Amino acid sequence: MVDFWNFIITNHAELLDQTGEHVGLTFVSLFIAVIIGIPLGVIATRFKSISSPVLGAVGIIQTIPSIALLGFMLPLLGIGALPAIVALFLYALLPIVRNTYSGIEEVESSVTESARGMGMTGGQILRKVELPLASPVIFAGIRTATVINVGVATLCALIGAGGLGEYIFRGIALNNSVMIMAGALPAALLALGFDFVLGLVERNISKLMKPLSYGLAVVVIFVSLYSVSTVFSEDQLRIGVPPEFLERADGFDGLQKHYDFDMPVVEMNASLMYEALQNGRVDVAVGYSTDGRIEAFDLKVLEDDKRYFPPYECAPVVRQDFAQQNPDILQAINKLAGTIDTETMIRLNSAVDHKGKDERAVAEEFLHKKGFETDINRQGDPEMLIGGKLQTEQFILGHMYRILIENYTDLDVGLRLGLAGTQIVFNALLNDEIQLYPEYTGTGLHVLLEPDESTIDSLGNNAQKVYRFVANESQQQFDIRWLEPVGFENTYALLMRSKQAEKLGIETISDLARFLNQ
Amino acid sequence: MIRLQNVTKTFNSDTTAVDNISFHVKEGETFGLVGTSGCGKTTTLKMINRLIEPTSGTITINGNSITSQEPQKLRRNIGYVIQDVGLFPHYTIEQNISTVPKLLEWNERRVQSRSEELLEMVGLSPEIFSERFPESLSGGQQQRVGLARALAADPSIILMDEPFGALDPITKRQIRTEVSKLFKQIKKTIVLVTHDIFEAFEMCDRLCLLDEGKMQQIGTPKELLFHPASDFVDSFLASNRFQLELLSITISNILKLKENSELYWSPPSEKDQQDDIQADQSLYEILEEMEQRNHENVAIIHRIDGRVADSLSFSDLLNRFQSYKKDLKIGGEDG
Repeated sequence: MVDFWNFIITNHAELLDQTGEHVGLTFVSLFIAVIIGIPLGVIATRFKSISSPVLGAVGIIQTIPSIALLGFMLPLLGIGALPAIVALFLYALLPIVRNTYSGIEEVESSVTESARGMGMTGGQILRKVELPLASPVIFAGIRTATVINVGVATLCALIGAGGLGEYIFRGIALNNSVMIMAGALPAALLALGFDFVLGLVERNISKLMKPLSYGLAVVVIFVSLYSVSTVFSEDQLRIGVPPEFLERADGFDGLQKHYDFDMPVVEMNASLMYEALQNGRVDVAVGYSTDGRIEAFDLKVLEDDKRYFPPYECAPVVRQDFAQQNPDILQAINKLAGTIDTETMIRLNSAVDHKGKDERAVAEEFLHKKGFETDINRQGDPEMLIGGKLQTEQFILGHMYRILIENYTDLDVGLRLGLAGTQIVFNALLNDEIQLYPEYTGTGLHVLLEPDESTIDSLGNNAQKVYRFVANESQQQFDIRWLEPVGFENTYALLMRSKQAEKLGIETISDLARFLNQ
Repeated sequence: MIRLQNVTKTFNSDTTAVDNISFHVKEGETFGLVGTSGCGKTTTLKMINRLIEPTSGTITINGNSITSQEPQKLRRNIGYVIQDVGLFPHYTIEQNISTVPKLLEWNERRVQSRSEELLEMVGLSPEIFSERFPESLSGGQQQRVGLARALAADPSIILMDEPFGALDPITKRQIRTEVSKLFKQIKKTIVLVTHDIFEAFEMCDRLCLLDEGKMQQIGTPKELLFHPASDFVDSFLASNRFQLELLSITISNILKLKENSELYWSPPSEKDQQDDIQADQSLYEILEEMEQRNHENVAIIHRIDGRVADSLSFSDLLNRFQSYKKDLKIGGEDG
């Protein structure tokens, strides 16, 4: 609890920003949904033939899992506030359209008949009779939509739209519950608060109808403009940074200090970074040096000329007890040692990310070419589990290890791939929920072991020294054994669009710092 | 005033709701459309204010086709009262009544004074009711407001669709009597749809009996009773014949009234009731009142120029009624 308050106090400025973005996303999308949803609902009552298609369509949108809906937005609209607002708008549509429709349908037919019989025009009946009578129901729909949107808006942090989800996802990546709470609690309070206020309004809707609709419109427009301007306004070079990199010791702060530069940050999910860079949403991105999209999107890796990033050699880590009991498994795993260099890994990643091949197929094809057995594919209950993080290569490696173990031992292997963040995967290993996963030496050093600075300096970013240090310390501290490196290095890397880098004459991170400090 | 010529309405091209109907509603009369449910009476009514458009045939009001103006404009000049009243629940009583005047853009003061006048007219106190909402009114009060709303812009025609259908028998009777009186005062042309034959006989000058969309007979209640055009008309009225006969025959029919005839009850009432009898009161009303006044000892006195010409007991009335009926059937004419 104390931790939580300290965190809030230290980060209150950022928290306020996020809350502002969150409210902005919620209300901009809500406003659009109201403007489009109410007329849509009205039209559905007027033309019976389109009422079920319209209600059906908005209903189907609602059934798409919110995270998938955000995913569908990516290829169409890229990342940032725009796709988030579109997705939230689509979500808010159903309750508004449906309630408008049913609110008007529920107006007693005798009332509309007498209105018609007295000589009201269609528009007068709608304005003076149907909408006022349906307004409590319509407003209840708007209220539902608001609460839904506050919740779904947390997911928008995944596509770089900001909001309170940033803390939540950063917290998940770092296994930091205080941070998750710092995002979740304000989001929950926002939802409750809006629900309460709108509930009050709903009960007094007949009295408040006119002042409310004008007032709401003004507030919404104001909030919308403000928040949109904060999201869209900057025209400096911006850097996309994944949440995990923002918080870790060898992360973004250290990088800025090491190279002495300062640039505005857009926080976004690591897997969206490359598209964001390609689409120009950001100009620099923190990515992984082996990612297949570097090749596919024509991106440039800036040279780490002052050796800030430590070596990130990839090697499988296993539980010590498991390694001792299963020497045959270690043999099977070690067959992969030294076989994949960085270029090969980029190519394999690209085959999955860009050419849309299946990870297992890519893994199998590679092993087959190397002359390994790949025919056995067991489907029984798994006797051991291989873990993996969200990066593509972790998926490919996971499949490779599974194929090797199943083909060279009698074990049935299960996969737990795509876990979000180092802490989560590592804790799973410590708790014996998984027995093996591919880790990187640099991550082991800076995230898992966190030695003091003098120790890190003494290693001097030397690959072999780092491997030896990490392997020894892991064994002593955690009973975890590092097996032989696979052969490639996947360091963090600063990426730019090749064309822009060339235009600005940027080759190295020092060039970038110089450019920014001009 | 309202003339329908060969009006037909088919729904979905196979159901004929109204089949080749023609009639003429005269100015100031109350015209009933009567029949069982599904006979086409409501459809016929709704074609007059264009809530339903006829498939073929023409409808004119004062010689002008109703299609010669916008339906909304037409409707603003025709009062419309329906069974479920259809008051606007979010409007006060006053706002409800003022709906049409406001559509016609009357000025604020005129709208308000009209609304008060109408509430008085339908027997509701404006001080009590103006600012209330429909939900706080009883069914009977709501129907009174509905009536006031229909009369608001002083239309010369009022269409009524089962206006008393949803009311309990006592309220129904009471409102019906009041409304009949009111209509006689304000001289409106009224088209009334009802399935209640007593209501029709009590309120209407002439009736049109419909069956399965076809016109069976048009005429005064008496014509339908004593000169039915078909077996259908006869059988439609058969089960309530006696009561309907009493309703359709007035006291003046069975007495030979002169210009200076006076009719009154004897002995005079002990309460503050009026003791004189109107010549156009139906025998039904007379007998009912006689019953209330204890018929054993009550008589109707008919005076001409102050001299007693007749004194009728309960059984005298019934005898005269019987012989009048006999004359009617033989003579083939109605009073």
